[in-house]
Amino acid sequence: MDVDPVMDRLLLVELQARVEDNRRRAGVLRFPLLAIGVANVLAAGWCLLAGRDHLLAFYAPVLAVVVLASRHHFRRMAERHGLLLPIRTWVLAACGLAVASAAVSRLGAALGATMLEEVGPSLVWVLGYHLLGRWGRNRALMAATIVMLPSTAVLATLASGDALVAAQLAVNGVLVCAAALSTAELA
Amino acid sequence: MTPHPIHRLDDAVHQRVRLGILAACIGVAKVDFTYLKTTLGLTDGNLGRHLETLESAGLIAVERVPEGRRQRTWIKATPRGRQALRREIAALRELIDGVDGIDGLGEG
Repeated sequence: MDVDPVMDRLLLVELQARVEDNRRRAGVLRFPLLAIGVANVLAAGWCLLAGRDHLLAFYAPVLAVVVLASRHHFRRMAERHGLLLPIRTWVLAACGLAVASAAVSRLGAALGATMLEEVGPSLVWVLGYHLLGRWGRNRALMAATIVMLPSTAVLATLASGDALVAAQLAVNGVLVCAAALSTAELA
Repeated sequence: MTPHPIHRLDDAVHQRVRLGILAACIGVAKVDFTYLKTTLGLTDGNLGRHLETLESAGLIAVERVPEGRRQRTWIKATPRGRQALRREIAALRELIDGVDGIDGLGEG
C-alpha cells in the first residue's frame, strides 16, 4: 500500500471537508423547522382553549403530520437534487422533546413547583432546538435559541398559568419560523 | 507493540475516489449516481467500477429504481462502510501526526 504523507494529508483535509459539508446539508431543515414553528404557534392557541395539560394530545397528531409532510418534501428534493437528507435524527429529537417536555410539566405539577411546570417544558424545547442546531450546523436555529432564553424569563414575569405557556409557545414558534426562513434550502 | 497505522488502512477504502464516495454518503440518507458523478468529477465508467468495488466489499448498498424508461441508481453507505471511513480517517490522522513529529516534514 502506498503511503505518501503529503497526499494523505490532502486526502484527510478533503475527506473532513466533505463530511462537514454533508453535516451542513443535513442541517438544511427549512421545511420541517417551519412546520414545527407553525405547530408551536397553533399549540399556543390550543393551550389557551384546552389548557396546558392537553398539549401532548395536540402535539402527537400534529408532529405525525409534520413528519409525513417533511418526508414527502425531502423525497421531492431528492428527486430534484439526487441527495436524500436524513429525517430520522430530527424526528427522534422532535418526538423525544414532546415527551420530555410533557414529563417535565407533569413532574412540576406533582412536586407543586409551578415554575417548573410552566417554564420547564419550554426550556426543554429550547435545549432541544439548540442541540439540533449544533448537530446540523444551523446557526440561525442556534441564534434563535439564544433569544428564546431571555424571552422566556421576561414572559415569566408578565404572565402565569396557561397564558404563560401559550405565550412561550407562540414566541418560540415565531422564532423557529424565523430561523427556518433564514435557513437556505438545498441548492 | 501497537501496529503501525498503515495496517489499519483498508485496501478497498484507501483510494481517493472510493474515499470520496464514502464521504459523500456520510451524513445523508442516500445519494444518486449523477450526484456522485458531478460532485466527484468522474466518468460513468470510472464511478461504476469504484461502486462495484465498494459494493462487493459490503461498504455501500446500491439500489436501482425504475424511473420511466430509465433506472435511477441510489447509493448509501452501510454501517460497515461508515465504520470503515471512520477507521480510515483515524488511521490517516495518526499517520500524519506521526510524520508531523519528524523535523522538517511537518512544515511542507
